[in-house]
Amino acid sequence: MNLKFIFRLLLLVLIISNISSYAQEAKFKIGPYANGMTNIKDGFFEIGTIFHKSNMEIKPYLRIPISNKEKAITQIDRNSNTFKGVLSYSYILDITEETGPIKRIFISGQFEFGTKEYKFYPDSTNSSETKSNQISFAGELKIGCYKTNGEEYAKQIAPEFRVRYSKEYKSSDEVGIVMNNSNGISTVNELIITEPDAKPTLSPAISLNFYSGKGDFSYTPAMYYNFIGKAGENNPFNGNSRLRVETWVFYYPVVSAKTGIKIGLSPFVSLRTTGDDSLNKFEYGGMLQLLISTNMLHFF
Amino acid sequence: MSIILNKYNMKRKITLALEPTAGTINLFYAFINGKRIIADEGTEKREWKGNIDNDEVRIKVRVTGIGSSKYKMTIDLPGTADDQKLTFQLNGGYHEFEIYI
Repeated sequence: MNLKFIFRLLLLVLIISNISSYAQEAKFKIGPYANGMTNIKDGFFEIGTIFHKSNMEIKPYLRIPISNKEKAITQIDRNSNTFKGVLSYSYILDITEETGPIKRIFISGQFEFGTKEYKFYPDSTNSSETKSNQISFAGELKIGCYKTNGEEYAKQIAPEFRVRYSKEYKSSDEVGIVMNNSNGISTVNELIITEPDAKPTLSPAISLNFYSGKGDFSYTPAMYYNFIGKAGENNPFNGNSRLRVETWVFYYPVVSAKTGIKIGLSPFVSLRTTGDDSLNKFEYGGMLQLLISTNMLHFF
Repeated sequence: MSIILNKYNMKRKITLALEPTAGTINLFYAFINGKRIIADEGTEKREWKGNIDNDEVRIKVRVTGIGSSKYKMTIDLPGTADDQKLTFQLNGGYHEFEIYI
């Protein structure tokens, strides 16, 4: 299948569907063990440094929201409009020898922290403007491995497990306030009248990256379970929950201009399993990813 | 005595680098006389600098990736030879080879 066909196909998908994921990463060397990193993914711009050795990686970076994706169903546990600092640490255990299977395990932890000032108008008038600083945070743990027999046309698999807890503040919705002036003319003023709130979210997820050893495509089924608690509480289990399933197909074009290009396409279905939320009980859609300087080892 | 000193003290400096050049490389491995010196993801150039014995040494490289992706190996032995650059292509997502220097 040639590259032009793939790009035409993706362009068609972009046009006819509501694409909800996009990623592009770039790295540049700044020292023997340090790389600069920029990444655009899922409505965020990330910039920072990667300190890398073969068995560990430390990544401090800033995550800046660049679009309002609060309603995106595929981003339930990542919705944030807060400018955040992120610190991640990865440890890799590789037991590959000169001959035999190729095997490695990695464990990664990440902590995110940020504050934002929110304005609201509790008396429904411009003069009642109130400011509120809120702290948003999240923690994430990932465990994954990679295995292949180390032979031509051998299968390659990379299962991953991820669990994420987050508490992200969001401003309340605007409401229309009817104002009557002295001339008897009514106007509507859009104001936020209630404080921002945060719902705790816990989201375990699993994926299985699979490459058959033939062709330029890999496959990744992934399943997420999101527990969403009540606003103002820390317990994520007393609200609603949703199950989401994705089935990714990744294409790896062999081009020399840039290596590690990965183009992914997936349908998704999301089912509300307990409680109630603003979404339909059953939701579905499509997702597209473009990744650069990557490989098939990692999905989350 | 002089022979023993020669054997244990005379070393050659070497720089060995593996770099993706087309497609997607998952992992790079390199071994010198069975000892692993590179084990890293193939998302960018990976390099090892060190000393090797004057005696002949065996270098083995193993690479996994997608399809028929390509990578480049560079060996630099300062003062001994010009840089040696070799480009290889994976076959079915894998390639390995051995050289003696």
